[in-house]
Amino acid sequence: MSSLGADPIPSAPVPELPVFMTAGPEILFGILTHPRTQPLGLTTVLMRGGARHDGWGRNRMYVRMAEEIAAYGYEALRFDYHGTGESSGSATTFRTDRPFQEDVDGAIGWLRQAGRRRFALVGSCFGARTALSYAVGDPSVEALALLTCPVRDLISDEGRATPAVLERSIRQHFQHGVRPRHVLGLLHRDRRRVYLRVLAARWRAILGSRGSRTGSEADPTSWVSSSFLAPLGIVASRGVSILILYGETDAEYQDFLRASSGFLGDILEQAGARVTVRTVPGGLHGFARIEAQDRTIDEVARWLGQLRPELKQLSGTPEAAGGSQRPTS
Amino acid sequence: MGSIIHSSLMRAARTDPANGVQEVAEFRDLEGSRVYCYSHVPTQPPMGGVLICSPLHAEFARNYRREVILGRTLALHGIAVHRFHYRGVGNSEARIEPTFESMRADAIAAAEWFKQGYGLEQLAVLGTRCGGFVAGSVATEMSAAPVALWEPIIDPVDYFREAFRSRLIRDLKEGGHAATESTDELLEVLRRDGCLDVLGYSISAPLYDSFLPLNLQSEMGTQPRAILLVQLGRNRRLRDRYTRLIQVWRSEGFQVDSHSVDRTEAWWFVGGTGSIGPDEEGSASLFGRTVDWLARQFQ
Repeated sequence: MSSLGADPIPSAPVPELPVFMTAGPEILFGILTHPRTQPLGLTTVLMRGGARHDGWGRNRMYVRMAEEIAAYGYEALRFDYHGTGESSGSATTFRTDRPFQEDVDGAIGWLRQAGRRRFALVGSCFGARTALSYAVGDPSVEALALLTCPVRDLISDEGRATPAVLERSIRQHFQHGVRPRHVLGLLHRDRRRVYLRVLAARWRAILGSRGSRTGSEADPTSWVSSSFLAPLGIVASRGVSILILYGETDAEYQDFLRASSGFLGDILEQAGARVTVRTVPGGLHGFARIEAQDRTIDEVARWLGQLRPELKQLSGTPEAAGGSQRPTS
Repeated sequence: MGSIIHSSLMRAARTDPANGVQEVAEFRDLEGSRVYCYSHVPTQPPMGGVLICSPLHAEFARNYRREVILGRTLALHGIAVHRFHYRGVGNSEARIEPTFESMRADAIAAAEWFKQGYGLEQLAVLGTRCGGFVAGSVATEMSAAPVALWEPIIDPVDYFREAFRSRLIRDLKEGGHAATESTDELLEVLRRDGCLDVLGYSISAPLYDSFLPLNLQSEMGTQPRAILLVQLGRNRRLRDRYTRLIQVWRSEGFQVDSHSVDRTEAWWFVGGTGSIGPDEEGSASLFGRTVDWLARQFQ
């Protein structure tokens, strides 16, 4: 495999720079937005959800977010996952328990070769789980914004189908399954795959419930994904600044609240002020309303802006230009 | 597998070592705004070039990967491809609110950059959905340039009606205002507020007004040219409105081919089921027929 080359990133006044980055066997495409004020030495990496097929997001949301972040003095890189947008490869399914860590590794590897040393990750839904998963192994990630982050494991094209099925009785499940819409869905290849996955999840749940009856008392939050809890626990204990943002009506937020009665609650309590949990009215998931997009951009930019005092201490120093030390405040 | 990658001011390029095809991403300036452009360049001097005019809003995202894969496939067949984002859309700068006139100007500028950049004399144009209006209109500036159309909108009223209905469906599903709102009422909101939020996309009054007087037949002009019309749908038989339009074009001397791809498209609902790209249902038929037809135009 050839290297990325050593082309330096041009500095301002170039506002945006298209880039190609190597990630495993694939070449990812991204766009780097330069800060519009004095650079603070932190590069944000924006990661969209899995149902989208482009890096700019619905209604150019990630372009607008990058511009807003740039106004605070941060660089912002948005990129296409492998198999999407301009990137190479193919990707048909996005599972929150199988995040595209290698893609983030490629993007940050490219930034590192270009002299960047300090990072903030901003991810939505699948992107949030990908960001969280990556942050565990990289101490240069100083801040993490998790937008509508699912606390359970989901697959992009089955959406909320599996959680819904798991909450139904066998009888309700049968009544639901014989609806004409679902029967007709059997004719469609992609829908058949989803049905099989949902049924497999249901079967596993049946087996699991039988097991729990014979074992000790079941954990009421056992449905919360360990691939969410474990990384969150690790990055929170490392002192990473974390923003967790939901819309009040997001199903993911209801899951988050329920999960907080278990181990998640302990993680949040121990993290203290390092973790900020915010909600906004209405739903955020999918950003299918312009108001939701605007609120999210505003929340993320303001939260990053609040990190500025500690970052300012380092701006202009070797650390800001390329050092690896994290702010100690 | 690897790539040779170069970045410079506002431009990045990579060459696929497996086939030598080069891909170039760049920002170009048009009237003070950055326009995002992406080219697929074959190893040999191209036999021709194809300019791709994308659809808008949710359909832009829905169709995007197909346009990328088409670009790569055509480049492998010796045809250069140029894609671009209209100003105010995707990665392009949003200093202006897009209208049909600005989209047409963007396409004309992109065609010029493409021709100059790669020494191309002959271009074909491909447009999807409402990108068909832009493709047809730009083709009239380029003599007898062939035009390929993927599931084109014939009457813009249909496009906006479908968009408004998708919002009503969403509202109904979420228990919102659908019971009291109709497409006419949404149109009133558009008039009152100057824009309308449709599933997170902004449809502005200037955009709506600029598209409303259009129809695909007149945008294609009167000079006969070759046209490929591809229908995406479960029904193999061409829809009546497409059949009628093809009859009109043929009566005016246009050479029209048509093709039906067995693929139902939920244009306004990105995500959901189904993959986008080479593995999706009907893709072999869509890409195969389009590439064959375009290659024939340059022989």
